[in-house]
Amino acid sequence: MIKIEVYDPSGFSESMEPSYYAPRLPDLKGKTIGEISNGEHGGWEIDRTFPLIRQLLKKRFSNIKIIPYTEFPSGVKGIDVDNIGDIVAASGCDAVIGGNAG
Amino acid sequence: MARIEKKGIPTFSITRKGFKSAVSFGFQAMGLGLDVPQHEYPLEMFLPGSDLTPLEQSIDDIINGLTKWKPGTEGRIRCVPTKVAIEGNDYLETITRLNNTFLKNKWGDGLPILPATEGQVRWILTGTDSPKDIILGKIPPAGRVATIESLAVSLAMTGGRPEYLPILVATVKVFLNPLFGAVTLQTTTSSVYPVVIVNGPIGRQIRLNSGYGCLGPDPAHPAGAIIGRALRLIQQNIGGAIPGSGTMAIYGGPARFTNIVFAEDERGLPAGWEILSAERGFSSVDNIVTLYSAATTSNVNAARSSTEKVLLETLNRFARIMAGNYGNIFGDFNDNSAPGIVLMPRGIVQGLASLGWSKERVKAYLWENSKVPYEVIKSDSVVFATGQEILKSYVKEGEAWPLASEPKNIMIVVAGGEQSGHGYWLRYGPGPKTPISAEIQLPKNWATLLKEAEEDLDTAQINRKEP
Repeated sequence: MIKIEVYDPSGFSESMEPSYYAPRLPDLKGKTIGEISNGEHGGWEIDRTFPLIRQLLKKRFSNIKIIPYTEFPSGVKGIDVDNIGDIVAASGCDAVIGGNAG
Repeated sequence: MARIEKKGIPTFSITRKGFKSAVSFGFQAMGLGLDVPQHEYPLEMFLPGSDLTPLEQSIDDIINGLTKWKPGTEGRIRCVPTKVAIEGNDYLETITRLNNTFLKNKWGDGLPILPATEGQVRWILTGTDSPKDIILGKIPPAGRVATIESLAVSLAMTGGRPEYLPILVATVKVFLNPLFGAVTLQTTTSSVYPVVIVNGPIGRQIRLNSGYGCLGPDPAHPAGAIIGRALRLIQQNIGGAIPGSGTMAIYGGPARFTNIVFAEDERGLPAGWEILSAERGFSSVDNIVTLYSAATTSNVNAARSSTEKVLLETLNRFARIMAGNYGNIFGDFNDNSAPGIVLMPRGIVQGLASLGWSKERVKAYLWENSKVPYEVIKSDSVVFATGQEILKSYVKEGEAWPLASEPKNIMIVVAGGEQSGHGYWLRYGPGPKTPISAEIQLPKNWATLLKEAEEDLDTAQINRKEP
């Protein structure tokens, strides 16, 4: 019988820091929701999916405010990942919905 | 989205089927958990005129994602891989079981791997003076951590030797440079792969191919394939670039087994032609790695330089191929972006030089003649839409679009042996905004390692035969 011991090649992981996640909102009433389009060329039906989500949210929460994706940088190339958090925060968004590239 | 979460703003991701893992890996790489506020929708929903009912039906998920959602795991977890024990009745059965186990765990690539035992890894680690637990960074998209030791493990799996480790370490350091754009390279739907070009004495010392068949395979010069395959396994096993989850490359391809790792044929450059690393600001005697990424290769036929007429026909053929498949070049265009690598063997560049062509003049000619006519680019609406804002800073309305901001950004690398007849075009693939070069650090025992390699592989005999 031959026995060998080999390394697991997957490296080690260091993650799972739930405190990094933002606290969720108690409700969406009166809140401002931003839309971020992370797809190139405005594709993946972003011009249909976001308006539908907008409509559904407004039906549910009459005083909700939506900042449409056209107001923010878009696409993998257009979004400066180092600054997007600051841009969204400066816009006054309470929450963000992103799609549809990935 | 992870960056927005870190600003204290809750997010929810609309995810296409197949991208759920990639999105999760992206969050994990930012130090959050794999459990991500997202909903995966069928791919058909993202096609023109699609049925959006799934979106309508999931509106509660979206609302809950912003209000009630909680990550599934609490507390910080550091997961260190353990060793895997493999048993068999004989050597062949043990190795077969090892390979089967690795494939079951998605740690292999389908080609046979060798056992990365403690002894083998320790031997490969003699190729560096750095402690084995030095952290090089998190390989995207999974964001697991690469150390010097984990690089040695991958190199052991691909049949590597200690003298290959310095190039792999330098390469991974560049790969993790944020300017290199490894997240895009790793996850894109483009079938892109890293290209590693080595300059300096180390190329010949470790038998990295710069001549015939320099892109591999070559039993007399196995280093490039072995180092490149180790890099690929790092991308896959540590970075999580598994087809259909971590990497969405639609086709993959043979170059993604070993990537492309080769040396420039520095002895083949004519007088006055600088090697790549010297052009990029390094001393011509330093050991330098230059990392780039390619998605397409084209063989340029009938490439010769015997007369001025033939030479111009050859350069025009190169230029037409370069301009004909501009792909993502304009979307990632900037002052330093390079559209690709022109590979020419000695036989062509020696002829060019003897007819009075400097490297700069060849670059200028290719740059000018590979411009994409405005009417062509204008009619290509998707590429035009992506590039027009960027190219505004470089060309006037109505002008042809150049593949690079200036001629010097077209990389010309001499490799492929002494003949003429064919050249090669390695076209840019999404990822790096610019090629990046770095110095390769050699260990103090370098001479000893080379002596051992000479004894193991009779490398002196191979080197004597080379021009």
